[in-house]
Amino acid sequence: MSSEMAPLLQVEGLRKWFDITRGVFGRKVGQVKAVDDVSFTVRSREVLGLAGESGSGKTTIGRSVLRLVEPSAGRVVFDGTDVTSLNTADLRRFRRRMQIIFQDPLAALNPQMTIEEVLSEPLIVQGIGRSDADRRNRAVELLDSVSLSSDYLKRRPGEMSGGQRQRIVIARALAVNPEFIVADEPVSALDVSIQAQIIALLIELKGRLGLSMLFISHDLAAMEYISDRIAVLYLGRVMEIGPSSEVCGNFKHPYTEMLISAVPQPEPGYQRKIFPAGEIPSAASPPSGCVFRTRCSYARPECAQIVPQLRKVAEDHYTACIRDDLSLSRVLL
Amino acid sequence: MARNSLLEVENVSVSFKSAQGPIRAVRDVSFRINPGEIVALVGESGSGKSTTGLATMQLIPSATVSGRICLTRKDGTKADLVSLSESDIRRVRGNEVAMIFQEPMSSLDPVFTIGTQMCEAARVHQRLSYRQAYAASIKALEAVGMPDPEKCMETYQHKLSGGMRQRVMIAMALSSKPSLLIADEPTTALDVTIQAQIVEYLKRIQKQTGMAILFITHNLGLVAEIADRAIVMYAGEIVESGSVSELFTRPRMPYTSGLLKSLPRLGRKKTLGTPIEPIPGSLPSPLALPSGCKFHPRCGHFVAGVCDTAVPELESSDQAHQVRCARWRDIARTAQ
Repeated sequence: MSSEMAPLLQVEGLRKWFDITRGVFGRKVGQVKAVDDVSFTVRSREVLGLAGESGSGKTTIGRSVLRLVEPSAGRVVFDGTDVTSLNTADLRRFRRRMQIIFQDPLAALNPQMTIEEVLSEPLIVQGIGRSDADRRNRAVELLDSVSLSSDYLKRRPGEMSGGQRQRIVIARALAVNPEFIVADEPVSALDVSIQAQIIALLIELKGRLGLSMLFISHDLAAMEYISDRIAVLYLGRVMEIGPSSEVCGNFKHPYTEMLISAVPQPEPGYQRKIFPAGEIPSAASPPSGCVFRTRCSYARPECAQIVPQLRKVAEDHYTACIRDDLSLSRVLL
Repeated sequence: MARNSLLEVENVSVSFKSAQGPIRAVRDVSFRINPGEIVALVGESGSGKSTTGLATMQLIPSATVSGRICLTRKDGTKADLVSLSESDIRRVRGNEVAMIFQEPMSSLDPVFTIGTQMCEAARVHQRLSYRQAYAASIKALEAVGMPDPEKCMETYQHKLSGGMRQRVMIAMALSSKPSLLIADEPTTALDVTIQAQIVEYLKRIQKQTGMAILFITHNLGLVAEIADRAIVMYAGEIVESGSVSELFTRPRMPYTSGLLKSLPRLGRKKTLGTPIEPIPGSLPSPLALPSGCKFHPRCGHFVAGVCDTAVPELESSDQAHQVRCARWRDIARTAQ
């Protein structure tokens, strides 16, 4: 992906702080900094992966971009329009261009609705198709695009397997012809043999429909396959961002090194060279300076003072670490 | 069958009653675990891997279990867990065979402190005094890398992270020095960094104590990391078993090789250049199992009249490598 392409999505200084309240009057006693000053872009026809442990803020970022949660500060600009300033009616019109796929397909589908109703609902909401027949044709087309036959129109989610349900959730997201999709852990709840099917389907759809995507996952191996670039998040901040092969193979941030070395490798005899230390601290009281320093084996006293900014290490590749003298281990074979 | 094996599971079947008729969740499963060995039981949902683990401990009261599950006890005698009385099996559970589960939150009681629960287990199973139990619990927590064991003893489970809860569960499970630990997806609900820590501690403790582990998982990466041997299950049957290095380098059953090919591998996108190859289709429903080989509707090597007629036998393809596939010889020949 060349950097000359105009970004389709531009996120600037995004913050989401949740208040911690106590007592019957909801006295504010603190704040959880779920997302703290995050900036990135997604180019047209590009997949950006958001990687990180639970509590890294990856899901909150995905939802803030669609304004399913209201950001506390920052701007989300989609194709020249500031999404954060849209009113409800304009936002609804805008949602035609941006859709979301959730992790748990069983929870994301109404068990009472037939698949035809599931796939027609977004069309009705967005005023697409003049008649039921129109909408049914579109539903068949959508089923076909996720490799399901039209027999599924009359079925209900409970009669389907997890992988088939996730195909329906994807088809529903595609119903309004969006340009941009937030895929929030789309394969995590699925069986191993089904995960690969869904990843292959998403890659195929991306190519065929020219989709841009924010692919949120804790599974870096799957993410490397589908993403053009990857942003690694920790405690609501971007630690490293760059082309996926660089972030996974030539990483520059100690946290990326820790995360990648933790992934179990399906190679007998593989020996892990680095052991992940500690746990992610509470976002209500993040460490000063670099938020990762409490688990970092390369931390120095300065790391407690300075909040590291993203610095360029190569074309399109940035890291938020003040140490530029590190040679991180090539953990992989 | 070797004389010195710790656990011998022979022709075990587990079935449940349902409104649509009996569900035979596990069919004719046989395997053994030697002392000090780590064996992985691998499969997807519905494969019967967890049911097999639970049935070993006689923990499914609603199920009918047939077959023999023969445990060599610490005193050297052998006991068939299937025919043991409830009071006898309680002496086996915890003392000889311990179990940890996927969700440590639901395994701990929210209204008692961690210390109370740990001490209770130690007192019941090992008949220790309170003071001895407390000291033993602190030591057990240290062994699993708990940062501040004294403080942990005073807290409640909701104050602990998922990784810390699982450490408590492991410490409790190991307190009476079982000869076998059954770990049912113990790291599935955890982050990869915490998973790596837990697996490391399990491996370390296994080396120190020499206990055997039956590690139940769907994650092939973890299998390669932790196990000596692996048993692959599909739709309630063992379809392949062997040493981990054999299975990963020379899988004989198309399901196993399919799983390995469908796995995204970190840092290999560039070097391999090949996309992942998904296994088509979906897992069969236990109420409508395919005839013959249960994998045949999804198999690229399917031959009508061969694969869909008789259930293939689990046969030895090599020393200590077993496969359930009518066509494994043909497939192995064409692959060479």
